[in-house]
Formats: sequence, structure tokens, C-alpha cells
Amino acid sequence: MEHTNGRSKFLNRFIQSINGDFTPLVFQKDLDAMANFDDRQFDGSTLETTDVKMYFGGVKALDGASIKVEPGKLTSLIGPNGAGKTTLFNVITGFLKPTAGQVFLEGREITREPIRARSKMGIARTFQKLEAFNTLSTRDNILVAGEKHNTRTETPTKLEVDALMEDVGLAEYSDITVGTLPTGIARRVELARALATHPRILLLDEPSSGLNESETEEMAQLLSKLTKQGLSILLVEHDMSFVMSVSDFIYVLDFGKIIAQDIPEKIQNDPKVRAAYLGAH
Amino acid sequence: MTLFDMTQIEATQQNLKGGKHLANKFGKSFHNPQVIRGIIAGGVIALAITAVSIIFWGGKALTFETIFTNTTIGLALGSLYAVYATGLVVLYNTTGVFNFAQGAIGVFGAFIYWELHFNDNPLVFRFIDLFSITILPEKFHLHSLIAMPIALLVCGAIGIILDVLIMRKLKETSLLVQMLITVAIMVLILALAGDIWNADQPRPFSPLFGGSGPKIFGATITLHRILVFVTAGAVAIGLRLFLKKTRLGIAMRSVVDSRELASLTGTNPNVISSSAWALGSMLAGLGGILIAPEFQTLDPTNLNTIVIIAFAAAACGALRNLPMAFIGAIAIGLIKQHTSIWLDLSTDYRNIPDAFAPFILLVVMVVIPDTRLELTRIVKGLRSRERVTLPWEAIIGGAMLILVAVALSGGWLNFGFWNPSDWGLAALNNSVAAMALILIATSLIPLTGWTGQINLAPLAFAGFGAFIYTKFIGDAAFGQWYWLPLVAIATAPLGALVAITAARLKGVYLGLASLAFAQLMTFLFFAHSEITPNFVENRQFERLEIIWFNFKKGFHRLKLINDLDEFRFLVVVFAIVIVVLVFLRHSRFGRRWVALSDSEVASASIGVNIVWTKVAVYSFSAAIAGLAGVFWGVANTSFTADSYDILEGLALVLLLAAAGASIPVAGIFLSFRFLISGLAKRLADTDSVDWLMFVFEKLEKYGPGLLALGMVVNSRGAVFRIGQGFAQMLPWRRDAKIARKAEIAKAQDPEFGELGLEKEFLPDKVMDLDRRLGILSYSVPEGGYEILKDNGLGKNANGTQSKPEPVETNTNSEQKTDK
Ligand SMILES: Nc1ncnc2c1ncn2[C@@H]1O[C@H](COP(=O)(O)OP(=O)(O)OP(=O)(O)O)[C@@H](O)[C@H]1O
Ligand SMILES: [Mg+2]
Repeated sequence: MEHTNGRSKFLNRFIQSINGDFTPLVFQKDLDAMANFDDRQFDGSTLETTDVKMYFGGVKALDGASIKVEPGKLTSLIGPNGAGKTTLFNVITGFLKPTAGQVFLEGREITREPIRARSKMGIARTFQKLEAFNTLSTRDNILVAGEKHNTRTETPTKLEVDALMEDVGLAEYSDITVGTLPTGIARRVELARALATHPRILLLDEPSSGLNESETEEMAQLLSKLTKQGLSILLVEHDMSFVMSVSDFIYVLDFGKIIAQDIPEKIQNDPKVRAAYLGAH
Repeated sequence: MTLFDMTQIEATQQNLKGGKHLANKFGKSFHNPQVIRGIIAGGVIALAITAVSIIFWGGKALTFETIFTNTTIGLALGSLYAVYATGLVVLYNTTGVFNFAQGAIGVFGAFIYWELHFNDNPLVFRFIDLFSITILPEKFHLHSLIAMPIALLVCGAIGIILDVLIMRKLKETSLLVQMLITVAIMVLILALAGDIWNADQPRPFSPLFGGSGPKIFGATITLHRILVFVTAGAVAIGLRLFLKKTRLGIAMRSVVDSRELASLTGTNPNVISSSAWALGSMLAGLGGILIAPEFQTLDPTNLNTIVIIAFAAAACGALRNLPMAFIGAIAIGLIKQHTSIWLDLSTDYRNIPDAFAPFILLVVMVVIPDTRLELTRIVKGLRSRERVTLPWEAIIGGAMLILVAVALSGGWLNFGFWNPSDWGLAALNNSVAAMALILIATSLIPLTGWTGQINLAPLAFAGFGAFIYTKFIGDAAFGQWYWLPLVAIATAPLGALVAITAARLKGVYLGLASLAFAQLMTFLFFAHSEITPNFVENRQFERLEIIWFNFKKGFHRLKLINDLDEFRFLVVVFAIVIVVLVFLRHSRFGRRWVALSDSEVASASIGVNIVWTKVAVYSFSAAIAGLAGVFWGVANTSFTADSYDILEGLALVLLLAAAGASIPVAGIFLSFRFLISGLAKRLADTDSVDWLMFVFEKLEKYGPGLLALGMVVNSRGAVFRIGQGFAQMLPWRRDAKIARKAEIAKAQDPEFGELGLEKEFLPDKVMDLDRRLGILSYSVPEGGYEILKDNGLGKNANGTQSKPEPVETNTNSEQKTDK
């Protein structure tokens, strides 16, 4: 991004805006502030659900699920198909109001808050079935999210978006319409969009689906980096090697109930988990 | 996809996995919350009926005989609506397409039947007569038992033709495009029917059995009506059995969930969709034939109005449930008949009995949530750069537009054939009308083109703006320009109102709700003499006084005394609107609107307030439409309800969609229609070739529909294509040149660049695909045990999956394989 090069501020502003760029002018101090974007810190927060129940008519999608995500930790939620993982995500993010139970963020109850309020508080998510803004470019996808959370302080959103794209490895796709990108890259766009909302906790629903081995590997590295920077992550994933390599703690959900919770090494050898996965009850 | 069906979709995906997909369809969709919503909707409707009855009660004596007679008439009417509605529901369940052309197909069926059964000199004979063969008898009437099946078969054939030629090609396009295409088909069929059977000739259409029948409780129940009732019942029961018990029926129910799945059961999905179209169209034909005697004479436009009642009935069954649709149809029939008998309605309120159908449609659409599974469809395309017109391009373009228009209309640019003095007043008036309609269409660009909110009622907003102007401003202030913003501000809340009521709706539901809204405005609002006093005092549109600029006088006040001034003024307004739109598209609002249209779920998740965003865009759109409505009124000189007619509005929407609704200048495309009619008028003046006149006339009539069908080929619209062609020639548009090259390459090699795969299908990708489809099992490293990767195809203990290999999925897109 060009900065003021001695031209008058207004002339610059004018040229910028007829070119379709309505972000504020960038000054050197902003650039300095942005220089070390890679070292950014997230203010990861604690998330807790207590005894959440979600019934759809007769279907008990969740039947008393209690989990806790520690700040700056990557916590995984695994379980067979239909166990209720996505439903728990929907309850946490406000897409569903639970039949019973509570959700706490940083100790504050948010069970009845609307989706957008939770987004403001720092809950961000991705979707199991890719939900990118398909007709917008990669940059705009991220920008839309950033603008919604722009605190109008020092850092102009646009710069942040550029840095974020660099970070997630999307720089070369910045002007491409997302609907025409391969799934692996579109998944990253979705992730970057979530990150642009300045999250304190990130919920990822099967981020590796649609990715090939090497892309999955990159995703794992990215997640590790994010947790190192302090972000709390709750991960739903079917790819076991992925889960085992990145998680700090794992919850196993089956038929809406937590049947096991432990560190990865213990979970791997838990006979209950094995039984749930193989359907041998 | 909307926020509200997300969970449903995931649930359905679950069901598909478990193979339970069939159990959860038809009929069983009403679990608890929906029953409650149904009760709310019913309550609102009952309340409206009660209120209307109390206010307008006519005080007729309630005798048993009148009640009985009218109930039977109402039942018969209701059964007819039911026949139409069941056709709609079956088609919707099977193909996911809601057929707006249902009524038009019914019209066609009725006319075919009339030709065969009633006409002395049927169409076929007239055709043969052209070759002057006279072997045919003087008069020829087929018996109704022969004429009816023939007419129905013709309708079925129309359905199949539509499916094969048009609808099947639309599988990859958005539901919005599919819906608009059926609207286009409706407009085309109606135009065609109007051409073949012009409305001037009276066409009596007597009921079957000549209107005789038994006397029950002192009232004659015609055999025709009894037959209608029996037929409708038989159709309903027959359909239910067909869909539940026959192989084809069961396949039809499964195909909408998943074409792939249906083909696994060994049924060809194409056969299924064609059968559904044939069946739906035959039901439309049957309805048309049976209902025609209820009208004085056979008239395409009149007969088509039934369709909105059929929509309302289908809506009562949430578009999917046959028994509920049937009950809804009967209820509407009864309400319509009884209100028209017992109420004492002045001319202002004459339409109340008819208004109940759109009212019910609106209420049900708003209250019953969107249960339709609108999976986000990936419209496949080349990896392409996002390119939106830049503000400076818009500014220069707008300036050029103004220059050219002023030069042309002022006679500075004189091409000989294009001299305004020569052109005459009619042509100029045409241009003013064109500019006004272009502006109305432009109001849909942020709403439909960017935010994806279909609105079939643009003229209702325009009409409201015109009403505000004539009522409060046109008279009092003698048309000062500075009152115009007030019109815009006054119309915006109407938009906001629609946005709030329709905030949860999308796709077909939104289309239907907006259509119902337009119909209600026509029936109740514009039909009121206080609002459109054209018969009473012929309220004229006062022309505006504006601030204008020219080099002689500088800035000065100018009264737009004639169409020439008006035209120039409108061109300037249009240019300004375009520039504003382009700026807006680049702003955070524009981005947010497009994002909302792409995915409501994702928009919500990043903190966007869905309802307020919609309120904003609807209000903005309504404001532009209201403003344009004033100019449209000026072009028509007086304010009449007809100028804001629904069909006119549909033509407008179609043309815009055909041009490409997301492109700010697409509205200009509409001017072609006026160019044509202008040329036709000019030819009429100079009394030249008849056949040319004929061609122009037909072009004007069929143009919008045919152009909209162009979306079958290019769903992004014509302006987009033309624009791309132009853009290549511009020196600063290297991107367009590259895009063009890629497109040519793709045309030669269909697999080039599909979703960025660029034909590379590396072994690890294939392996990964297999893994995700559960074909291989793999082990957890570090001494773990085997966990079967179960993703999408059910649990399997020994890790071997007996599933057909996903050949199709491999080559087409990665998108499909992720669940
Ligand atoms: N809106 C809904 N209505 C009815 N049932 C639902 C709904 N949403 C989810 N369910 C049911 O709840 C159960 C849990 O579903 P959920 O999507 O949470 O599972 P999941 O663990 O995410 O599975 P997967 O691994 O396949 O993604 C399933 O049986 C599903 O059918
Ligand atoms: Mg899930």
C-alpha cells in the first residue's frame, strides 16, 4: 500500500476513492504497527458448556454435553457421524437455542445471546459444509468480516487483511472469486475470514475435509501457530492422525453424550472410544 | 442458503447417510414448531375474515338454501384450485422447481379443448384451409370425452418439451434463475395464447352436461360441479397412491433429494423429471378446462389469474404437502364464494373476495419457515478475477451517456434518420417512459442483483411513490424538484416493511411473497378511488421544475415543459444513480450485501445483522423505485392502476435478469423495447411496410420472455457478455483479455480449468478422495488402533465398503466430495 508521497491528502484520497478503494489513508505509523503481524497475539478465552441438551422432536442430538476449552489451547471434539458435534457448535455459536444447559464465555453466560453478539464477543467459526462468499474475491471475503469488527483504531482493516492473507497463504489468490477456487483454498479463505473477526475462540468444523494430505499438513501447522499466538481453538475433525497431532485435549462425543475426555495419548487407547467408532455396542 | 435451513440441511445430510431419506419426505414435514406456526397463520387469516365480515356485512338473510348453494359452489371452485395446486406440489417435490407457468399451461389446455369441442372451425381446419383443401366438413365438434384427453395430452407434451428443452439445462444454475425462467415461460405462453386466440372474439364455454343437475334442498347442483368435485378428489387420492405405491412415484419422491441417489436405484432422473413435468402440466390443463365455464368468456389473462390462487393453496401445504394443499384450496374456494355473496362491497373494496388468496399466500409464506433445502449450488466456472466497475469508469461512462443523450435529443448529432423534430412527440414520450422504466429496473440491482432478494413487485413500490407524489406533492408544490427526495423517503418505509416481514424468506418463497404483495397492492390499494382517482378527477402529474445548467444561462430554474426536457433530466438522474450505485458497490455496504446473498449463515457468523442489512437494502431499493415511479407517471401523464400492473412488472424483472441483474448499467438494456416500439410507431407514421410492423410488434411482445430464456445459455446475463467483449478493447483491462482467452480455451477443451483443478489428478488426491469416501481404512500412527474413517456412507465394521466408485465426483469437482 502506497502512502502519502507528498501529494495533498485530499488528492490522494480522491484518487484512491475513484479507484474503488474507500479505506482510510495509510500512514507510516500504521505500517510500522503492522510490520510484525506474524507476532500478533490473540487474547484467547475460556469457553464452557454445562450439560447442554438439544432435542429435535424425539431426536436427542445432544444429551448433556459439558466441555471446556482452555485459553490458548487446542481442544478437539471427536465422535462418529451423527454424534452431535455440529449441533454443539451451533449451540455455542447461537445458531441453535439449546433445550437445556448453558454456554459460558469467560465465565459469562451467553446461552441466549444472538449470533452476532457472540461474534462481537470473539466467537468465530467455520462450517462443515463450506460456506464462503462465493461471488466475492478472497480479499473481499476477509474484508467483509474485518469491517464488521473494525475498532477504527490504529490499524486500517485493509492492511490487516493483506497481512492475514499472507499469513494464511492466500496472497496469490487475493483477487480471485472464491467460488472458482479449489476446496482446499476456499477452506483457508473461510478460516481467514473467521480470523479477521478478531476472535478469542475459533470453532473449526472439519477443516481438513476436502483437503489433500499436504494441505492437511499445512492446516495443522497453521493451527499450531495460532494456538501459540494465544488463540483458543475448538476443533471437530474426522481425520484421526490430524486430531492426535494437534490437540491438547480431546472430548469424545457419542449419541449426544461425552463418553471420554483426556489427552490424545490416553484417548487413543480408550476401549470406549474404540467401541463407539466401530459401532460395537 | 438461508440461516434457517442450515440445520435442516445438515439433518437431511444425516438422513441421507442413514438411507432414511425417503421416510422423512411427503406429509411428515409437520413436526411441532410448524404446527404452531400453522395455527398462527390460520389465526391471522381467520381474524382477517372476521374483521372484514364485521365491517362489510351486507345484511342478507341467512337462509339454508343460499348457504347450501354457495357452499357447493365454493367447494367446486376449491376443488378446481386444488387440481392446479396438486400439479404445482408434485412438480416442486420432484424437481425442486416451482412452476410459475402452471396457470398459463392451464390456459393453453382450456383453449385447445375449446378449439376441439366448441369451435365450429377449429384451429387444425383453419390451418389446413391455408392450403385450400376442402375435403373437410363444414362444422366439426369432437365429443368432450375425446376432446378432453387430447387437450390433456397436448398439455403433457408441453410439459415434456419444457423439461427437455429448457429446465433440464438449468440443473447447474441457481434456483433464482430457474424461477425466473418459469416466469418467462408464463409470459411467453400467455403472449402466444393471446396471439392465437385474440381476446376480442367472445368464446362461450358452457359447462359439461349443459349446466343441468339434480335439485338438492331446493338448490340445483350442476352435474359439472359435482364432476369437478369428484375429479379433484380422485386426482388427490390417485396421486397419493401413485407417489406411495408405484415404483415411478417413489423414485419421483427421491429424486429431489439427490439425483445421484435416485440413479442408484436404477431410475433415470431425466425420465422422472419429464414425468413430473408431464403430470403437472396435465393437471394444469385439467384445471383450466374445468374452470373455464366459471368465466363469462375465455380470455387468457383472466384465466391466468387463477394461478395466484393455486399458489396460495400450494403454500398452505408448504409447497410440498398434498393433503394440506388440497384443504387450503377448498378453504380458499369457500372464502371467495361466501365473501362475494354475503358482503356488501362498494367499488373501492370490490376486490376483497379475490384479495383473500394473495393475502393467504403472503401470510403463509411469512409465517411458515423456509423448509426447502436450498443447498448452496456451486455454479462452476473458470477461476476468475473479481472485476467490478470502478468509480472512475462509472463517472466517465455517466458523463458520456449524458453527452450522447443530450446531443442526440438536441439534434446536434444528426444522423438523418435520427432527428428529434422528425421523430415526433410519440417517440420522445417513448424515450421518457423508457428512462423511467430503466430507473425502476435499476432499483432492483442492489436488491436482487447484489443481495439476491428476488422482488417480483417493483411496480408496486413505483406506484406507491407515484401515489405520494400526486397526493401530497404534485398538487401542492407544483412539482418543485426538491420535493423528490421526499417521495424517496416516503417510499423507503414500505420497503423496510416488506424487508421485516420477509426477512426469513429466500428464493421461491420470497418470489411468491413479493408476488402476493404486488397482487394485494393492485386489488386493495391501487383499486381504491382515493388513491387512483383517474375516473373521478383524472389526477395529472404536474411536471417538475428543476435547477438546470447550460452555457448560456449558467445555473437556472427550468420547468420541464415537454418530453424533450424531461428526457434529458432523466438521463442525468440515471447517470447519477449509476455512479452512486458503483460507489456503493465498492463500499462496505455493497460488499456486505453481496456477502449476504452468497451465504446468510456465514454472514451471521461474522456478526452481520441479517434483518437490518435487509431493511437497509430494501429501503434503498424502494426509494429509487418510488422516485422512478413518479417519472413513470409523468410519462403516462396520469396516474392509473394499470400503469403499475403486475405483468408489466414481471416483464421488467425478466428483462433485467436477462441483461444481468448485478451490473449497474444493465437497466439500459430495457430501452431496446422502447426503441422497438418507437421504431414501430415511426413506421406507422410513414405508413411503410406491413410485415416490418408485424415483426416489431411481435418482438415487443415476446422479447422479454425470449431474452430471459437466454439465461439458459448464460445465467449471468447478456450485458455481462457484451460488457466483457467491450472490456477487452479497453487498454487498461488486461484482465478481460486474459479472461476471454481462458474462456476460448475452455470452449475447446471442456475440462480445462474446472474449479482450478486444471486436469491435474495426482495419485495423492485420488487416495485422499478414497479415504474420505471410506474406501480405504487407515491406521492411527504411534501404535494406535484402526479407526474406520466413516464419512458419508454409513458405518461398517470390517472396513470394506461396497459402494460404487465415485467416478463422476472425481472428474467434476472437489466440492461434491466434501460433506
Ligand atoms: N435441525 C435438526 N432437526 C432434526 N434433527 C437434527 C437437526 N440437526 C441435527 N439433527 C440430528 O442430530 C444428530 C446430530 O447431528 P450432528 O450434525 O450434530 O452430528 P455430527 O456429529 O456433526 O455428525 P457428522 O460427523 O456427520 O458431521 C443427527 O442425528 C441429526 O440427524
Ligand atoms: Mg457435523
